[in-house]
Amino acid sequence: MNVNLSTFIPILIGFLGVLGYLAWLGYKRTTSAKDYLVAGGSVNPYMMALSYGAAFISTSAIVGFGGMAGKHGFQMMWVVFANIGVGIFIAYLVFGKRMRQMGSNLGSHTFSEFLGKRFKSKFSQWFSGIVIFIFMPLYAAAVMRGAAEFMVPIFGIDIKWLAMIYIIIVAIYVITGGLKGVIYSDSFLGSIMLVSMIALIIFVYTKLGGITSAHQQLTDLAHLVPQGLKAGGHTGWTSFSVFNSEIWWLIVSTLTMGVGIGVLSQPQLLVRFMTVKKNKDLNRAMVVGAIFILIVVGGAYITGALSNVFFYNDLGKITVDVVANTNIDQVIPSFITAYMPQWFVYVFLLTLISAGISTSSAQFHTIGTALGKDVIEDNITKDPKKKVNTLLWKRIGIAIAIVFTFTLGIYVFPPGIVAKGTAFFFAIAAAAFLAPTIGALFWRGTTKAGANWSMISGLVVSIGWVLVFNGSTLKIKSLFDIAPWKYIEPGIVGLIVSIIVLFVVSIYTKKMDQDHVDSCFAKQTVEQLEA
Amino acid sequence: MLGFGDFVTFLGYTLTVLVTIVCIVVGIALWNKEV
Repeated sequence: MNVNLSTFIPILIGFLGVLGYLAWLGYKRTTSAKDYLVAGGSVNPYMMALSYGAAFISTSAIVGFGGMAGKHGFQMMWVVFANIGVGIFIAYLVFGKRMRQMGSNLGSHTFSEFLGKRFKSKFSQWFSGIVIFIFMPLYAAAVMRGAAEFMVPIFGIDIKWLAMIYIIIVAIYVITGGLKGVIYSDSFLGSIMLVSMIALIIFVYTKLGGITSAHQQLTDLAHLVPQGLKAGGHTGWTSFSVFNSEIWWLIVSTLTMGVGIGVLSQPQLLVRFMTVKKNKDLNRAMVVGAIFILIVVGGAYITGALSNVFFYNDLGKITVDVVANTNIDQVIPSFITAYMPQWFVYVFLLTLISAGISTSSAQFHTIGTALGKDVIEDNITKDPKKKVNTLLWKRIGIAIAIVFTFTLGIYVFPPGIVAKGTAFFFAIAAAAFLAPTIGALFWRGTTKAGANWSMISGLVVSIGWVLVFNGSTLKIKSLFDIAPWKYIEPGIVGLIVSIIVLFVVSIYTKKMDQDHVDSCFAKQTVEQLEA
Repeated sequence: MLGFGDFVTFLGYTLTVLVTIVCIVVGIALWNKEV
């Protein structure tokens, strides 16, 4: 993107100034562990929804997935449908309410602590904490690298230094402000994302003569689909791929099911349900959350897909032929540079920085508290006097998480791993966490052994699937190379196994104490809610 | 079909908008309800 640094740097300083103020506000208002972990449990619903959306949508979700829509077209709208239908409607209306209520009944402040208390199992707590601490940095490193990579050509600075500056900015407000600092900042960052993507959608459809006209022009380009994509099942940018083809599996299994359903098992998002006080806060948050995802994710996909029409009308080429080395990560930046006014380029840059920072901050908070609280504080420091209301372990945990992620993202990951790291963590989280979470929230008959074996089997099967069939998930060579098995999402396979294990083991193992189960599922009285 | 090339893609686009409208309507209907 063409950026005049003498104009952009003052804008960036102002932007960072606002973030700094919000971090300070979070720090000033954080006086207890509850403030630090779940922002005091009484966050405004609008802020909660913006924070949920901003944490969910990273730079790579806009640039990477938007670019993917440039290649695969409007069939990717099914991913947005799953994001809203599952990630907002079901998540807020059904999942989130149980999570909020049960989390409150159990007095839990992290996802792992929730599992531990629900199943009266230290193993559930530390094992899920370890899984988060080991595997989430892959996702966090991917998001950090994705955010830093797109800034390299703009600032002309080595990626190590850019990543270092980026991570220091995030570290300051996450370590000091806890989840309050994160949520205050996310509301600001999410608002920038929302406004700029609304402007982008209006521009794209207006320039192409309206919705139907824009889509029709793209439909008319179907004969230009390159031979390589046709072989993969591509039929045009406004039609679905051939059933059982490579692209069909990518869209249906990895993106729509993997990312769409996988969102319900993301600990950094689930913990946000514990930040609101009442169910009606979630009803209100659902309105903002749905609009946010439609505009920000849908906007990126619509722009990516319709960029083919813009480039074809002006250059006689489709999008993948316009970007250098057919690098689809360049689709959205190339489109913005070519067609949007200079002021919008600056706004869009802030949007991408916002998307990266808001996701990274949520990740660091989750990884750090998993290590600091769930693995160390609640297990190693056994003396209750030593762990009364202390924030120290959590801050140390976050600092370790940040250093770990930085090392992984800059010194261990090969370039081009951004989407892979994200998809891999979604797979792991869905396979290991979704079944025990559903069991915890909706089935009284779920036992401690059922939940723990479900978590272990999901994790082992999903990693095993990568090693045996689907090595492309991590850019490694798997044992076998058989279609369609190699295209099937490891998280979905792991999830199916973990659901079966949860059910079968729970039937044949010792039931949970009935009083404990009743207290978990107890509805809160008006007095309790008002307290 | 809004200019789309096939029904499945048209359906994906339409359902995305519809589910957003459902979220807005349900959210507003339950705005003050503790359910």
